[in-house]
Amino acid sequence: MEQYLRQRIDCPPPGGTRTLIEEKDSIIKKQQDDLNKLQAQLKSIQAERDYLLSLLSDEQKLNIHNSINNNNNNNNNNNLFQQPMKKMTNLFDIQSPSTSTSSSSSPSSPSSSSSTTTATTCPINAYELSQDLQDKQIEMLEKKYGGSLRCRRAATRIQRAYRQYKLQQNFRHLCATMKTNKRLSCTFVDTNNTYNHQNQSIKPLKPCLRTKTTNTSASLPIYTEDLLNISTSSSSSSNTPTNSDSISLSFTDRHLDLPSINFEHFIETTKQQNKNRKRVCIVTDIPPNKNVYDRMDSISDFVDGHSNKPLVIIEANENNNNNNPINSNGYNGLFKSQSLSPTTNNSSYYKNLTDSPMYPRKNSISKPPPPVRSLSLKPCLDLNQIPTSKTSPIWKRKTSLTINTPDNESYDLFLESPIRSIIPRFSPTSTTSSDRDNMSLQSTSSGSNSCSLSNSLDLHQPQTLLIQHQPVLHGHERTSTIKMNETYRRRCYRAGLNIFNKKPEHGIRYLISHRFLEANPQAVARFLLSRKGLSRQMIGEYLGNLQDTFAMQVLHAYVSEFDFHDMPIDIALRKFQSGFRLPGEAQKIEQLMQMFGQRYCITNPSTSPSNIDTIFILAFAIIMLNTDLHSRNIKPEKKMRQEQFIKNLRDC
Amino acid sequence: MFGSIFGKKHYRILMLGLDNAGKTSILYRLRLKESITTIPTVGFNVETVVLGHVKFNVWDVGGQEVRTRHPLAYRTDKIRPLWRHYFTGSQGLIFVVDSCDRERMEEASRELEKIINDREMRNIVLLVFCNKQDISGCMQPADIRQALHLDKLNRPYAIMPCSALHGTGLSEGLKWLSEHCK
Repeated sequence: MEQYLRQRIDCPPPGGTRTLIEEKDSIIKKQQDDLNKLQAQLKSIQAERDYLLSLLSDEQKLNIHNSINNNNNNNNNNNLFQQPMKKMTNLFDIQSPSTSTSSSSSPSSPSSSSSTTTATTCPINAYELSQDLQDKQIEMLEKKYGGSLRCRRAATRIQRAYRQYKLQQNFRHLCATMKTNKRLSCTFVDTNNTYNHQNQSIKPLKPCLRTKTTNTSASLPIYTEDLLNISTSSSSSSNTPTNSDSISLSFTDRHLDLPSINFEHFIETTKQQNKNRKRVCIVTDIPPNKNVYDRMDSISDFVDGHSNKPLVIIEANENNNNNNPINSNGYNGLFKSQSLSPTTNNSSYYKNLTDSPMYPRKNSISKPPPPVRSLSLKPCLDLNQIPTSKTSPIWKRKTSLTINTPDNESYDLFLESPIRSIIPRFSPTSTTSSDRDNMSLQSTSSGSNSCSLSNSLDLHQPQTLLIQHQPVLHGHERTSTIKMNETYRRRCYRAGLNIFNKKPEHGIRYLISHRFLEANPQAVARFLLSRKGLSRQMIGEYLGNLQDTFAMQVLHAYVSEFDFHDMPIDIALRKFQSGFRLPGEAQKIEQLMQMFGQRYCITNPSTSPSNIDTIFILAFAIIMLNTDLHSRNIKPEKKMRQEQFIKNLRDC
Repeated sequence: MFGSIFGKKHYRILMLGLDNAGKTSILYRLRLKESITTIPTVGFNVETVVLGHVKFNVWDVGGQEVRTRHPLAYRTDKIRPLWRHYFTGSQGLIFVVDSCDRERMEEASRELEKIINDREMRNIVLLVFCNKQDISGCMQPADIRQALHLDKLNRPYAIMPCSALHGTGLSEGLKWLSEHCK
């Protein structure tokens, strides 16, 4: 073994020249310095991550382990006998923390958080603009730029130019990623050749990660995590660029229908993977069984025609993993949860669908709502792509994984049971995150698949593959139709919201008739209170509707959601109006203020002005005063004075 | 009349009527001729309408009679004193009637009577807009005059058939107001 290694690395024998050793010592020292620096960096980042996620304790342990190993190695450098071997491991270890820093590093986590925060604030304001205000804005802009016709022409030109520019950019990016992809596959061969012999139980791609620790550390919690990492790294090595592309392309729709996008993404990755696989086939040493290769390709082609390939490959992988003792416990759970979940939990899907778009408005500060997050992820991904050109694209996948880590652990807990893995989806905030996890896991599966194809094809049984192909296909078709339905329902839901923003009564009726809302006032009131993306003006219109009996009941339910306990009347009034815009019609205002007065009296039974009418008149007078003071249509000399206000109220 | 040559006149006009009579529609129909540039204030609809040399400051005061079928929505007449402040400084009153709603004509009549008899409204000029004239089968202005008991009124008043939907009759009504306001 040692001799072999010496030969491989072209190291001098133990009794070789002193200078060479010194040189190497210096190099090692340098590397150690670098290592320390990187570790310091890593620690700071980890601290940040821990603070953010408080999830990665296992990871941290691993790194500490690493550092200990490194130190030991470097101390033992005097021992010439062990040097080449140690140097080998040292190289790995240096690689692993450095790359892990780059992966889990600053571009990913802080930028993502910052972008989310900026994105959360922005679209809320954008969405709150009511229709006539928007019209006004457009009108003003048109005036500013000289006529509506001219304006529109200019706008279309700008839009076209921008679209073209974006398309070109995308194209260039795709070209670049294709190039890096080629380069990557070449590097694999090298790693295969150099390291494969050292540790044959480990897959050829593993040396990129912490092979040392997986061998030495026996602690189980690390194990699963590590497995995940390894698999992701391998996946990313083969087809990360396309992964990220497909993600960035599909992110805009993500909040609309997550699973279907997963599906698309799946197809894309597997298509890419197909190419990769062929490349790998060319590159690796002579395949043990040429027929197997041919058959594999033919299978993939056949499946390609039906665009149902991904699951087949998963099955194949599952087979493979069953043969492979390292991966068997890690992957199977994942795949089952992936493939079984949509079919077994139709009802849960329905529930998920109706529940997930309800993102509580009040939580928006603490938890950014998923659609916003998905939006903000796009630039974040772009950022991730920058460092990869410097280091290696291998870690790109992993970065996205580290972004996901807050929900990752909770998801990991559910990995074993396929049904329970859906449970996190029920809560509205975790839906997208878990789905994103699914995505990364899917890429994991495809990636590991490609790796296993390059390495252990001789283990495959093509016949079994073909047999298992049929039933899975059927199941997948079913899931895809369910997903299609889900897409449709999501569209319906959004259509309902849009209708509400134009004609509130119609919108509510639509939502109820499509069973997105229960037909009782309490549910509608809660919907109006919590749902983001509804025009505040239209909520006001709806609540102030005097003709609609149901709307009046909703108003009553809406008001009873508030608690004005121990609040001065003006602050309570402000709180009451935080969810909607007061309609301008006097009768509607009167109606709303009456309800407010009632509620205020109920929640404040002991305070001095406990009479409902008193509260009502005071609230109405406050609204009046507000109009008087702030309306531009009232001349300053005619505005109400303090004594006038008091005098006016005295008569009541 | 000469005043209009030298400068703009300002009149404060109150707009009243039952709910669903079309007050807001009339107000914004009048208003929409000019471009809207300001963010509307939270509170009542108050708009400035310019007609020639006359500026009308129209307040949507509403009315106390509200059609409610819901038992929880009870009515009080207690906020009328709050409007006193605006009654005093007003020159004109626009009362909007839904010409199609025959059932509530009596209600509207009561409402108008209450306002007209208010101490502060003694010298006010009254304009009655018979809205929704575009709908077939609606009441004619002469019928409405009877239903509202306007014959007994001893002050300048006018009845204008109009349609907020098409914008017909509105500017004529305002013209009459500008001529008769003091």
